[in-house]
Amino acid sequence: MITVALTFVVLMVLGMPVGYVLGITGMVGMWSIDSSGRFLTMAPDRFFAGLDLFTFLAMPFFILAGEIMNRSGITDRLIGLADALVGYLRGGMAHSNMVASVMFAGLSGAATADAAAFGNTLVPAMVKKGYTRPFACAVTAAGSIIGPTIPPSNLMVIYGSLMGVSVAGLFAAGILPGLLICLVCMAVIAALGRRLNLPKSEHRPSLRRILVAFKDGFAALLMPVMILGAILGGITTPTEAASIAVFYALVMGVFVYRKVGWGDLVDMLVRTARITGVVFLIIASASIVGWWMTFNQIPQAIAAAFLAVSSEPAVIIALILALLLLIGMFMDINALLIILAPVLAPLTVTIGMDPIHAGIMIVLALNISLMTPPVGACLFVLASVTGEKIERIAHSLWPFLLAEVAVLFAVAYWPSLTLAVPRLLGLTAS
Amino acid sequence: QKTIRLAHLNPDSPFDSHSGAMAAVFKSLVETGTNGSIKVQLFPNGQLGKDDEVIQQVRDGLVQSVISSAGGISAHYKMVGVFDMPFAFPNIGVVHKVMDLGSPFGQKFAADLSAKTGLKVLGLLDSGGFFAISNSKRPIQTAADLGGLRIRTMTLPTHEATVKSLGGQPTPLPWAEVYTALQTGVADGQMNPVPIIAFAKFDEVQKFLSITNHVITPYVWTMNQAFYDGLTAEERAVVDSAAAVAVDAGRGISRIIEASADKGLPKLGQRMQVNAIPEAELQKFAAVAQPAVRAVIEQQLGAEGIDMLDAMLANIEQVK
Amino acid sequence: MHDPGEYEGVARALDGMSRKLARAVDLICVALLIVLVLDVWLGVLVRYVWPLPITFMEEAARYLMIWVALLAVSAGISRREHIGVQMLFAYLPSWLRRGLLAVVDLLGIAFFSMLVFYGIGMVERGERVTTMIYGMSKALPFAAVPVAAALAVVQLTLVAVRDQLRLARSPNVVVCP
Ligand code: NA
Ligand code: NA
Repeated sequence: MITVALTFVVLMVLGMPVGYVLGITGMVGMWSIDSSGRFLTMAPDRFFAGLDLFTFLAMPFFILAGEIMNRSGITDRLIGLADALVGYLRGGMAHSNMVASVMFAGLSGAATADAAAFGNTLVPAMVKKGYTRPFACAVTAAGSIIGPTIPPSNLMVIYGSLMGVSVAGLFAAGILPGLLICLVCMAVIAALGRRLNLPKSEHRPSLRRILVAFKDGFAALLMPVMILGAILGGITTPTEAASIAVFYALVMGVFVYRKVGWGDLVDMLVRTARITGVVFLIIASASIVGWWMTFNQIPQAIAAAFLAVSSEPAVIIALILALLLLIGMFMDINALLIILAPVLAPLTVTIGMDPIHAGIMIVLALNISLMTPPVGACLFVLASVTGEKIERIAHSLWPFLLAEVAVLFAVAYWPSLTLAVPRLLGLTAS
Repeated sequence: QKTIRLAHLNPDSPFDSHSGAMAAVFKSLVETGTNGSIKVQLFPNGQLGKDDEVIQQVRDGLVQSVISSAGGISAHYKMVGVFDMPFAFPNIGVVHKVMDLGSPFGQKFAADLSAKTGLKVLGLLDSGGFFAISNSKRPIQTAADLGGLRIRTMTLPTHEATVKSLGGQPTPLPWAEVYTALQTGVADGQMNPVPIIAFAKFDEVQKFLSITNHVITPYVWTMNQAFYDGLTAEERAVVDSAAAVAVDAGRGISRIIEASADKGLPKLGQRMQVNAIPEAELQKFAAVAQPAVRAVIEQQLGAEGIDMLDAMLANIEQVK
Repeated sequence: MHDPGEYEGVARALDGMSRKLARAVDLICVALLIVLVLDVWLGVLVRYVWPLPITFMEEAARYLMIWVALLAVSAGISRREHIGVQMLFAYLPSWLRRGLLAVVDLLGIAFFSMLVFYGIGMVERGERVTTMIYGMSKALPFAAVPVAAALAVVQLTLVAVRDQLRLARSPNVVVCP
C-alpha cells in the first residue's frame, strides 16, 4: 500500500500526465495484490469498464454542442444579452456564469457535463471580455457543482436506490443548497471584484440595448428552453437531451445563422474527440486504482480509523465530511459513493440525522471533490477544454472552494436548509 | 488461511435483499464450520464491477465467488434465457421446487452451465419474486391494456418479445436513467419484481401496479472451480451445505420482503393503485406471449435451447 | 560528431509521421462520432416517430463512445495534450527536465505496452462473452483498449524521440511531458 501511494505521489510531482500516473499506480496496485502478476489481467478490464456508462455521453455531446454554438454565433448572442443585462456590474459576466449554472442545472445530471458545456462557451467569452482564463475556469468549476445539486442528479438517483432513500425527496432537498451555492459564489465574485480588478463594461444599461440584445439572442435563448422541454416533456432522458443540444445548435448554425459549413464540422468533431480522449483516459485509469482500493477494502479501513475518534454527533459529522473530501481528492466519486455511502449512512442514522439530510450532505461533499486536485474530473474537463493548466485553475479556485465547503458545513449542521422544501411538498425519507 | 471473496449486487444488510441474506448466512456458517480455516470477505452493492464483469473475475480466479442476476449470467451463458418464457410458473411454490439445484431441471441446468463456463454452481433461486408491471397511465387488467404503452425492459430479446407480443412498446433504457425517465414520461412503465420496484422508489413516479406475475428470472451463485477443488473435502462439505442453507435463507427473506410493510407490496400499495389479474385473463396473456417468446428462444438458443426450455416446462408440469 | 542539423531533419521527419498518424486517427474518430450522434438521435426517434425493431442503441452508443475516446488518446499524445501537474517540472534545470521527460515518456510507453499485452488477453476472453447487439461478442468493443494503447505506444515513441532530438539542439526549450 505504501508502494502504491508513493508511486502516485512521485509520478504526480514529476509532472507525468495524470492519466498515465493513475494507470501506472493502478498496475502497481494490481501487482502488489499478488506478485505473480495475475491481477494485472484486470487492468484493461477496469480501464474499459470505467468508461462503460451511458451517462458519460453527456460530456462529449455538450462539448460538441458548445463548439457549434461558438462557431455559429449562438454563444456571442447569449453573451450579448447577458452583457446588456448585467455587464455594467463589476464581474457581471462571472455573475451571469453563476446564474446560467443554475438554469443549466435543470437540464443536466452531472457536473462534468456542466463543466464541458460552459468551459467550451462561457470561458472563451469571459476571456474575450477581459477576464483571466484561470479565473473564468474557476468560476465555471465552482458553478458546475450546482448542476448535480439541483435536480435532476445522477448521483442522487444512485444514492437513493443504494440507501433506500426517496429520490424525489433528495431532488427536492437539493434545490435550496444549490441556490445557496450560487449566492455564496456570487458573493465571492463581488468580494474579489475590486481586488482582481474584474472587468465591467463602459455603457449603462438601457431598455433599448436590452431589447435589441434580446431580439438578437431570442433563437439562442430557445435552446435551453427546448432542451429543458425535451426532458420535462418526457421526450428524452437528460443524457439524450445533450444530443438534442447538438441537434439544435447544428440546425441554428447551418440553416438559420448560416455560419457553420460542413467543413467546419470536421474540425469541431476532431476537437470534441481529442478533449474526450484526454478526460476519458484519466477516468479509465482512475478506475484501475479504484478497483484496487475496493478489493483491499481501503476506503472502509480509512473510514473505520477516522470514525473511531469520537462518538459526539457534531464531531462525527465533521469527520464524515473531512473523510469524503479527503478520499474524494483521489478517487472517482461514483465508485466512492457505492463504497462509502453504505459505511457512512448507517452512522448518520445512529446520530439521529434524517436520511434525506444525510444523503444531500454526502452527495454534496462528493460533488465538491470533483473540483479538488489532484484527481478532480471537473478540473480535468476544464483544463482540457480551455488548455489552461490545472494548478493555475486550482490557484484561482480556492476562494470558491472554501465558500462551497462552508455551504457544505451549513448543509450538514442546519437540517432545515435541506429539509424545508421536501417537508413543504410532503416528501419524507422513505 | 483461505479467503473466499464473495461479491453480489445488493446491500450488505441481511434484511434488505436475498443476496445480502445469503452472503451473511454463508459467511457465518463457513467461518464457524471450518473453524476459521476459511475467511469469507463480502463485496456487496456491485462494488467490484458490473455483474458480467465480476463473473469474468471469478472465471479468472481473481475473485472466488459471485451471486449474479440473469442479466449478468446471460453474457457468459445465454441458455439462462429459457427462464424468460412468460407465464411458465403457476405460482411461487413451484418456482421454489424447480428453480433449485436439487430439482432434475436444476441439475441439468447447473451441469450445462459448468460445462460451458467452467464455473462451479453453488446455488439457484429466483431474483426476488415474479415480475409485475408498473405504469403511469392505467391499470393493466386485460392484455389490451398494455396497448401502446412504452414499457422499459432490460435489453433482452425475450423480455422485449414478451412486451411486444402483448401490444406494448419495449423501451430499453440504462438502469441509471429509469427513475427520471419514468418521472418525465420517456417511458410509461417498467417491469420488475416487487422488491426491486420498492427499492428503486418507482412508486414515487408511477401510479399503477399490476401483478401480472408474467415472468420470474433466476439468480445464479457460482464459484471458481479450481478454488473449490483446492479446498479440503471437509471444507467443501461445509461450503456446499452453507450455500444450500444460505439459498433457503435468501428465498425466505425474498418472500418476507415482498410481504413487508416497508419494502414490499404493502408499501407500494400506499402510493400506487395495485391490481391482480384473474387467472382466466392471464391465460389469454399467456396464449399470446408464449409462442412469441418460444420463437425468440429457438432463434437465439437453437435446438439446445428448446431442449433446455422443455426440460424446465416438464419439471414444472411434474411438480405442479 | 554528428551535425546538429541532421538531428533536426530526423526530428522533423518523426514529427511529420506523428502528425500524419494523428490526422488519420482523427478522421476515424470523426466518422465514429457522427455514427454515435446519429445513433442517439435514432434512439429517441424510434421511441416516438419511427418504431424500428432495434433496441440496442444505448449499448452501441457506449461502445462507440469508448472507441472514439480511446483512439483519440493517441492523437492527444501527438501534441502532448494530456494533462499533468507540471508546477515543479517547469522550475527544474534544463538538463534535469530533459532527463525527466525521457523517464516519464518511457514509463508512459511501458504503461500503454502493458495495456496492449493484457488487453489482447481481454479481447480473447471477450470472445466468450456476448453483448445484447444481436449476440455479438464483446471482443469488438474490448479491442478498443489494445488497439488504442498500441497507437499510443507508437505516438509516444515518435514524440519522445522527436523531443529528445530537439532538446539536444536547443536545451532551453521547455517541453512538458
Ligand atoms: Na441537475
Ligand atoms: Na477530487
